[in-house]
Amino acid sequence: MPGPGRSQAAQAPGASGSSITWDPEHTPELAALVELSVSSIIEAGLFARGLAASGAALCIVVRTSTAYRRPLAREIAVALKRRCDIGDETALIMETVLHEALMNAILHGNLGLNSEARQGFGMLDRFQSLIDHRLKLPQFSNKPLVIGATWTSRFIDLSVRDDGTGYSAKPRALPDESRASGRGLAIIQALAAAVSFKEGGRLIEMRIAR
Amino acid sequence: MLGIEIQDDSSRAALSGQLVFSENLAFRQAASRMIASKRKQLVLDLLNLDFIDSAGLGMLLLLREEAMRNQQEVVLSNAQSQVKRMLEISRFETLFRLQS
Repeated sequence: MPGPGRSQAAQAPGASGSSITWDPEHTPELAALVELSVSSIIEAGLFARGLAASGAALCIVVRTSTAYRRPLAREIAVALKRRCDIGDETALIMETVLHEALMNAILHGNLGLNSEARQGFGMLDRFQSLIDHRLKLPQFSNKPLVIGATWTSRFIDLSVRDDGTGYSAKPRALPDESRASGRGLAIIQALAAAVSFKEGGRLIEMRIAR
Repeated sequence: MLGIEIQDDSSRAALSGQLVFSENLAFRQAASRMIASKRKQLVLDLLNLDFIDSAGLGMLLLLREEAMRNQQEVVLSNAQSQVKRMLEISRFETLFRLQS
């Protein structure tokens, strides 16, 4: 299938040269995602990277525009909940941290927007306009996001990698309590068992206790 | 998807579904109606809200800011599950009156 999403999928870490397996029976939501992907340029698949031999790995590559429009965090959490046999509370934590990481990767990573634009109700309009504008530009909307998950009997490790310019990732405390933005990373750190930033802040890895 | 049901006098709104960034327009419109009500106390009933993200928390803070400017108070009522936990993590009990 032609298109930028496809070419990026081929470059996903661990994807090259590995066999791709797919189990739609146990991941109907992601299966539906794949069906949609054919027409909307979203790439999804399981890939082999060590743990994948036992089926314990998942990698999804999506374009920024697709990631912004789809409830990906929920879909992935639902699929992982079924595959990993985890409880509702853990699934909600996964959905929450994944959602926060994805929004950071989309807005501040691939779309290159500054959260300062969100201070004040009036500024939300401008922030939304900036998002809509950049999503119309291929150089932003086609940038890939790579979402990964591996799991063991004790942990689920989630990762989100964007294609932005990166940032200086430092441990976050909650921001000034009344500040309307800037608390996404602090929430991830409060909910995850461990968080690390790599590749100049473009890759976030989050460990969730099962 | 965010559902918002505003009481006739606009002093109380019941939220359902998800309060995330993409719902900011719907939330802002509801917030404007509530602020315009001139009621001293504005209550958001969160009983059926099942998910909130950091942007949603930010929107609650912006409503609070706007309400304070108009000498109004925002009360968050009946938060459950993930929403309750997010309010706790963000120490919203120091900023809002929380009702269960």
